[in-house]
Amino acid sequence: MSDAMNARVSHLVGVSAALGLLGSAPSSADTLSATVAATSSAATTAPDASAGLLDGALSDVGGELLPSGMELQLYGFADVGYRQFVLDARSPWRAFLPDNGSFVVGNLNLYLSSSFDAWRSLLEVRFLYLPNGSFSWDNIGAAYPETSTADPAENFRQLQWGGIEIERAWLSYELHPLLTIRAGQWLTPYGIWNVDHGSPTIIAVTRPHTVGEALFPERQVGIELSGALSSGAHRFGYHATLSNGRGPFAYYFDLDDNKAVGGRVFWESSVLGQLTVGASVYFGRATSAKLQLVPDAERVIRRDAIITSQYDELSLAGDLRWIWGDLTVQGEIITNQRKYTPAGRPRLPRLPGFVPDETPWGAYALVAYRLPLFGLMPYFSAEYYNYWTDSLMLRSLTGYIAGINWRPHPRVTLKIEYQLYSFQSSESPFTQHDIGSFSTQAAWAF
Amino acid sequence: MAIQGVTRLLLALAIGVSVPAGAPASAAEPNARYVIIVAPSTRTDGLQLDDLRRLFLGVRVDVDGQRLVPLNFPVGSSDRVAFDRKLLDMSPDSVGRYWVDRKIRGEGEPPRTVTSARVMKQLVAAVPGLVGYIRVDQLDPSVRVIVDRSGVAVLERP
Repeated sequence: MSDAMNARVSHLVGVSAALGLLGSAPSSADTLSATVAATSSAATTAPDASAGLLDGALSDVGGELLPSGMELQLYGFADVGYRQFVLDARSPWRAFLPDNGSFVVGNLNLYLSSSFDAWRSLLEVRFLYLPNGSFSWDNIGAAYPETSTADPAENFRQLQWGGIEIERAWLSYELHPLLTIRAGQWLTPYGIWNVDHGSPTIIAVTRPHTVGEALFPERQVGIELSGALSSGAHRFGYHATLSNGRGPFAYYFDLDDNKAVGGRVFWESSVLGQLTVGASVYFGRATSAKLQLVPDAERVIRRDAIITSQYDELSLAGDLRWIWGDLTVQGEIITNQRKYTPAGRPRLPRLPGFVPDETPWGAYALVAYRLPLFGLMPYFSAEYYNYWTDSLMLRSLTGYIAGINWRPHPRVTLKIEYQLYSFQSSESPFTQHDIGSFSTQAAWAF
Repeated sequence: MAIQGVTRLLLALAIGVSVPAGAPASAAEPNARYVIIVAPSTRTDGLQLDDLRRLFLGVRVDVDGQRLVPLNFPVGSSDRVAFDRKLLDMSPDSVGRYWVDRKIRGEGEPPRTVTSARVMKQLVAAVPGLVGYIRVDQLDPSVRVIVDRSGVAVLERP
């Protein structure tokens, strides 16, 4: 073989390595080289075969992927929209919710992904305007955090800086179809919405209250095992997790010795459309504490944690999604049982007494159908959420959402929807007033 | 095509930017017959059409410890459009949405693509584990057709 052909064969060996074939196929690199050499040789004798043929192939399948090289995928998604709350003139919700309609820059998430042999890495970060102007129920009446600073690059004019949230950061190794090991920070594998995750992918503008209340932690730091077994039109799979659980520093510091465990099992069937049924569980201890340094009896400084909140929690969830042609039906039911430890039961915010053990639960169902007309997808969602305890003395919520989802391009999703939430309680004045909300969103993947 | 044009125009008006047209979809050949091919040495015992569907949808499929790796034609090419319809029962838009959603979930990348049946055949024949497809009239002895348990090797769908 010529040097040029040798180089091309090396390239193809590299491509094969990048595709994960050398690690799993019985053929060694030498065997593969010989195979490719024979192929190359045959190619040169074909009537219209040329050296450019393999070069073209190499660039098509990643000619730059030398064994020592690395290919980085950079992509992401973002969304913007407009939101207007619809509240009656005497609604007490006006104290908490903005009157004015506002344009909103929502998510701006960037992914960095790479694969090498059976290894895969994914980093996802979200860029935020926060902490500037951050709003919470607890700081109403107080000045919002403001991050203005002088910009030396612009004659020290004022600018507002924002933050970055790490959404995911993990490394995985695919050992076998029945076993992939993932370590780092990952989205909790439960239900549908939490995994769909991105605004171009999810059908409605806003998450159901049941999902937004994080009855399961949205993401965890630890180890996740997963795998699946296929048989004909059916596929059975599992996820098993071990993590720090919840906590203010859970991404790098577990404030208790109890690791959280969880898992999900699912069944997929393609007998009639694509049906997925899943069940998830999570059990862990959530601890919040203030750390301080104190001298012990021998005057040795040690770290002491003053527990401010601590509870054991058991979360259970079931989910179903059925996609049949242009019809999508999905639903989730989620519950979270919290039992506070004697040392970790906090006081109720703004109310006398202590937070009781609680078991909030909720469920939603969503039906959507993609019409032949422009691919418009009307959707309707209904939800019930039982608060158990709430600082506004609300007991339960019912919500209805109607909207239209339109994907004029696979990467672009436009949505318009109206949401109506009503509340039930025998004690709270808030139950007399519904919350309406009109939202639009343009979400896109890039 | 007129609807696509209107769609792009409305989108451009809605978000205030120009939206370039994607790769033009060549006219699919509705009567084309396709075979799924592997290298002669690639083990495919027990492989079924459902497994092949999963494979081309990004799900890992192994046979006797060997991982199968799909190769595809570029988005919009006539062979790709026809194959997606026949094997996956999905339109080009559906396939596009599927892969965008999968990437956002963090579930992985679509199969790599090659631009011609000749290259597809050469790569598949040379590298055990690669799985590709070509039209029946492009078949030659360098590759082997996968036959599933039901005996369906040629993909035909009215």
